[in-house]
Amino acid sequence: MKTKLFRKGDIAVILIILVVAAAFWLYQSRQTDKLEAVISVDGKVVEVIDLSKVDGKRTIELDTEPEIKIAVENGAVYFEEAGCDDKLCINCGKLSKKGDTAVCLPAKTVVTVSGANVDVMTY
Amino acid sequence: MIGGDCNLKKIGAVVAAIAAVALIAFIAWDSIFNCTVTKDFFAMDTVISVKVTGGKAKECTDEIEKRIQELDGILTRHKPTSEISLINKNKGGTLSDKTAEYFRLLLDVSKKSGGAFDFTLGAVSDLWSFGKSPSVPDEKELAKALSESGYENVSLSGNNLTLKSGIVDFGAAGKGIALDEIRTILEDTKAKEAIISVGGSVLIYGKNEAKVGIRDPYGNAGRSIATLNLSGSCISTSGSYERCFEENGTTYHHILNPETGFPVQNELVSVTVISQSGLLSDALSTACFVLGIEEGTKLAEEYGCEAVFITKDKTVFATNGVAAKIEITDNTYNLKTYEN
Amino acid sequence: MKKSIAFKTALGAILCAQALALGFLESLIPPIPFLPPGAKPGFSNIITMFAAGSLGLPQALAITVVKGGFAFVTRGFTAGIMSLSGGILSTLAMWLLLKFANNKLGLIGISVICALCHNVGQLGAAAVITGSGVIIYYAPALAVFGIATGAVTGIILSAVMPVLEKEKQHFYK
Repeated sequence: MKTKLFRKGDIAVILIILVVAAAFWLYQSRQTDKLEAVISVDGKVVEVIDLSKVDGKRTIELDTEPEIKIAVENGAVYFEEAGCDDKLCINCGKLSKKGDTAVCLPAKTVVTVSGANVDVMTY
Repeated sequence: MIGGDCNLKKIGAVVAAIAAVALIAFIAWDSIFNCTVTKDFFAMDTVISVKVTGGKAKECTDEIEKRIQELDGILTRHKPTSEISLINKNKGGTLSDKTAEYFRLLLDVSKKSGGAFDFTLGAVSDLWSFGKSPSVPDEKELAKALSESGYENVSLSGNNLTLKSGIVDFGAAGKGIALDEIRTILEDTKAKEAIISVGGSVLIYGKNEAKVGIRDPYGNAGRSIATLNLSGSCISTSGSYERCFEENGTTYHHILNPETGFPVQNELVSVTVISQSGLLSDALSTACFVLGIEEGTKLAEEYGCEAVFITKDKTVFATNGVAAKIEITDNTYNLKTYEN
Repeated sequence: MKKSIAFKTALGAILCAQALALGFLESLIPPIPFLPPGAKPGFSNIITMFAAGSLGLPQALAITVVKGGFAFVTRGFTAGIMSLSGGILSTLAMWLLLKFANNKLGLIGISVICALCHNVGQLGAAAVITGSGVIIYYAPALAVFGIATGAVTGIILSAVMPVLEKEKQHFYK
């Protein structure tokens, strides 16, 4: 292995990654609409909650394996209880900004904060 | 470890790489920030939101606003000098080519729907005065207004219209007409993609699919119960939740049955119609609401349109052509495909 | 010097053990704020990188599979899948880069790309498991994190390379 520690090509690699990541991040952060917590299990949306419209605290218990309890409070959504071992989803903390996401892989549950999850409404 | 073998070639390569990155960044920046123009404005008694990508997006949105204000000036009944007001006043007249075409299409919908769609109910809806201070009208007055109404009183030959009686009101098709007008502007300015909403009647323009949310008839206006993935279509919805009021414990809504002059009473709470034409999607959504699921499906089929019916017991009926594109997002609603 | 099967097996086993040990050490690091939980520096990549460069693709993939199997046994099915998908993708990338881009990229660049491939594999697996594409929102933060950890991995690798090479020599005697 005669690989050097550092070559100029490395700079290009790092720059490209940074630029793509920054563009992606800007694209995400630009989309600010009303905030909704979208809870999906196994790819199916089971609940959509407008975060600004919850007064006090609301909890949602999911009949997943392991069982999960999700709470909405003060414009934020979070995993409150989970029957899994690693508690990674609870460690994600409170989600309140668009794009915030917490995942519980064992229960195949994704909680994400999105703006209206449609492009336009017909009424 | 950075050796002395740095030569001009390598520096050149690095400069080229940085230039390429800068170019990519610029293109990304440009496509994200400069090409999409959004604009919300009020016209035609409703809110209009326009989102245009590509082409001359800025000019395009300005032109759309201008054209919609013009169209409002033609179709409105509020202004005594509008083309529609003059027709009502003079019991007919010579129409502009465009207006004549609108009349032709609307007469066709009226005939094919067996009168379930009727654009001559101006006097009847005035008695209900939806949107202002609505109340259940006097029976005799309603009967009189109703007897004078009816699309049969309208006859069109070439651009000459005669209106025997009744008051023409484009309320049930104006938003759709606006969408068709907007589409010609989008074509003229070579827009790539656009999402237009004229008071809830929607135009998805371009190749890309957009997610169109169908409003929850029993919930907040921003909440959807199902989404439709559509491209290149007009989508209009008529629902009994719009402009409704309560009197003596009964709720009245704005979709009137042309036979009785009273709000339609059937199993439906909303009908969404998808069509290439804005005018058709708008007019058919009202016609299908009046007709109900079975007759409505037949009418939509006759026009080659798709429809989504939502009933009071939260069942969503979708015609075959749209069943694959609809996704229920509220699990209190059940999807059923309507078998013809 | 002939590389016997016994030699390769023995060295592979030692490298496996080292990868597992590094993986275990890494799991002791508490969750890092602002990053998706589960994001790890990926120091065991040092071992797979060395294996890919020095022993060949089959050995490197074998180590990856053992690592995945270990995660599967100790941390469960989802962790195993995540480890495998990320590991295999990054090992393949590593092998290709060491083979074809050795004179254009340094260890830092290669390990940064590998760290990124590791993340892509894990995100992809997570997307498949949850059936949801929204976790792509993690991508920008992971990319930046990958640059940092990839650089660290590359620097460590260059430091320990002589040691590992020496270890290899024992098997030639």
